[in-house]
Amino acid sequence: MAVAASLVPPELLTPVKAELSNGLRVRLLPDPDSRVVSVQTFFRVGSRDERPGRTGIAHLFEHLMFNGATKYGPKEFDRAIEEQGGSSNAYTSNDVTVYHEEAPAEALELLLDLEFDRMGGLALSDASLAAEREVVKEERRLRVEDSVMGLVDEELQALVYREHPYRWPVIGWPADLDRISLADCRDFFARYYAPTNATLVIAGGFDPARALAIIERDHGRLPRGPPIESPPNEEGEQRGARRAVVRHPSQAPLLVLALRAPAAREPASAELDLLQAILSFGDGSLLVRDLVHERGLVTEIGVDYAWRLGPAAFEIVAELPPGGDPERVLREIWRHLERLAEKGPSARQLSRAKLQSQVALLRELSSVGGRAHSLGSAEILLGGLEPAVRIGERSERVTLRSAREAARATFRPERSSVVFLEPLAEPAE
Amino acid sequence: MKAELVPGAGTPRPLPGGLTLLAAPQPRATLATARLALPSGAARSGLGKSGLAELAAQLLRRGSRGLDAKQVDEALEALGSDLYVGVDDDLLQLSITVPPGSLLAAARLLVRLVRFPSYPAREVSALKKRSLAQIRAGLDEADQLADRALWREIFSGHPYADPVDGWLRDVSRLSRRDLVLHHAGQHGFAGGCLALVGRLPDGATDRIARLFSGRGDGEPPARLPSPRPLEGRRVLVVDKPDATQAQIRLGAPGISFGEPSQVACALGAGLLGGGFSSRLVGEVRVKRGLTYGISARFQLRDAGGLFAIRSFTRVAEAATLVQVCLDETERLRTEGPNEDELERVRAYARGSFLLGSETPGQIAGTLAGAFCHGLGADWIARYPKLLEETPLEAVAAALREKLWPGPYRIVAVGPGRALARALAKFGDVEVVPLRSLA
Repeated sequence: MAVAASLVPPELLTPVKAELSNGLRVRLLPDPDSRVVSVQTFFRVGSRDERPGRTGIAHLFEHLMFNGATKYGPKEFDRAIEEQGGSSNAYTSNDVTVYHEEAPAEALELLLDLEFDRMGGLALSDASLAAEREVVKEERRLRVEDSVMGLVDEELQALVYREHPYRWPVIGWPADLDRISLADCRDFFARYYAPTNATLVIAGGFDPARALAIIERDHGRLPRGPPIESPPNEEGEQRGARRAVVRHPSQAPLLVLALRAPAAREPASAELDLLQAILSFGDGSLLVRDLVHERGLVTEIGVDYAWRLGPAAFEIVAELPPGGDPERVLREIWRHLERLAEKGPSARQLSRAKLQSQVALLRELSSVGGRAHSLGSAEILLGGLEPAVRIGERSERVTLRSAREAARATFRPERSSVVFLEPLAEPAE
Repeated sequence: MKAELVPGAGTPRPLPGGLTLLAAPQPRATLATARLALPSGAARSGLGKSGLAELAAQLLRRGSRGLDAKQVDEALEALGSDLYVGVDDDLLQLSITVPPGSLLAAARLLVRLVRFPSYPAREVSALKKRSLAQIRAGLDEADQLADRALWREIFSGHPYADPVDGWLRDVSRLSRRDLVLHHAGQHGFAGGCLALVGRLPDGATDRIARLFSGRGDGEPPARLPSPRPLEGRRVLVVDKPDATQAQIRLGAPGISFGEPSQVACALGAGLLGGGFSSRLVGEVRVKRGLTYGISARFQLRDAGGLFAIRSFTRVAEAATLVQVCLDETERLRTEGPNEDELERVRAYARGSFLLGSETPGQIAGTLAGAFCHGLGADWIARYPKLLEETPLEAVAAALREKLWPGPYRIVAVGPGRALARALAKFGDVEVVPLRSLA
């Protein structure tokens, strides 16, 4: 396994670290051979920081960050980047909001200037809020209301979580989107978009000393933000299996099984990463081989254990053929999970999963965007574990015994939630 | 900017048997990619056999001489990687990215799978059932349906009208014999390309070249006929009564790979709907809040292509969105771009190409695809120069000629009655049921 770590030049995995006096954390991963750069700003704010009645504000606010600031007016953010051959985008999750720009290396100063400009003086107006609210509603129709998977996922999160803010969708409830006011947005910006709540990561072809000097000169002038109260992070013990049914005019049934799982920073998360691979990475994985190829009970099956700051979920999504039997599929999934919980993976399965995970990580690290994102996510969600450590140690320290224990602790029917999608439509002939 | 994007790339090495090898060593890369592209895409499936090329391709990894599907899976797991198998209208492509020490083993497996598939009856039956189920399930995906409908409209009577995964009626009739015959006739190496990119171990390129040599596959396949000209202006509404949104496509015949105006068209489409600062994003999303996403581009194929605008909006705004798209397209076609915005789009295209040429997998994809589409082994070096050298007049001329001055089609997927009423002013409307797209 050390083979994978040895392939990456150590300097590409050892960031230059700095913390400005206003609390902004800076992480630099220079690569003299690269012609491009990636600038990624991680804000420690996501839907978990919202409150009922204002759900969706973290994501809606992400849209507003592209609508002009002090120096660069409306529509100028993307125009300025694209004029230099770059592109930008952002995403909001339950835990974090990430803004990323990738561009030819020569554009680095512009990218930093744009980020400094909107962090220092974002222009918020009723007009831009109204326009972006409509855009977000379109996004919600696309991703949730007209999406089978979106409908099921929304139901699932509300089933898995009763106390934790993870129970509402990142994109927000429709009525809440209408309630979000300009004052809410101003307050949100002041509270969460301060340097103390951000990490700036740069990877690619640049001089770290010069980049740091620019960041200190500009970002260093931004005022520290107010102290941020941590959102509620508890979810009580689950004492029995939960089930829900979504009826929708779809062609085929679908089911999602979610199992309560540890947060990313808890020790068993590395084991669950590998169990995820054993169950669903590639045609030879346990669930894919058996349920897709051997018995044809499902057309697709996947496992998603997304790293979370709070109580996480280990989710298995099974897409069935029209007329398929979801109860049977659920029983078969449980058969595999129970076997893993009882006996653990084989040595061969564990070793293959480690190799697969490490090659997947090497692929991620082969682009500057992937490198910056890997470092930023690891720091925020895993608590500072850097890519080098991840390659070398995170999966390597998982043993057959620890994998079995993680499976035993997680794959428990009384800690499960299942959502079935029941088709209302007649399948096409 | 450093001079050469991919040092060493673009020197073609013809191999006995008809394949061309393109190697681009990158000593500091952490991984290596082997990508095989063959001119045997979905359009070679044959009349009434849509879906055949896709099924034949996906079955390559479900059994080979001396290896059953399980053994193939295990061999791939041992490499720590997965095999990408993809088919589009023109090409079949297989790609694998592995640590350098495993490149030779990966190439051995790749050549074995492509040359000697066994098409086990059990695997054929299982994959066929799965494909049929997925085509049916695809009826839930309005965006896919809109694309499916648009291609059928624009290329009526041509193989490009058939979706890569096929129509239900065709796929249900495919047999193992069809697959074996397709493999024998279409999976030859002539006209194909093998790209090796990344950290290539000493001697690996030569050894891999030998592995892929020696199969006498005759001539590359003949060029497909051109699609017949489109006539009239028509609106096709695919009735999806439960949808809250209308998926909308506006399309017209476009250009094929290698046409002289290819780069000019790419720049022109980029200006209309190629980035967040494009005209359509400004007018439709930023100014009117009508959509979350909109794009315009020429989709090139070897024997034709189409120009398409893709977007979606709430049903009540479908006509407004279509009208804005038509107005903006017409404005650009008749007035042409100005030098400033062209320079911006040129820079964006140049940067996007650079950002898309970062990893061994990306570079191998560009090298192999460009070669098979007849753009040349040196396309990756030439393209940035072509972007610089294409003048304003050429872009304006390409837009005047290619930006649907004539017939076009509008496709909308959503509630049939409401959309038919809203879109009637754009041409004759036909409403078809969802299942007509399966």
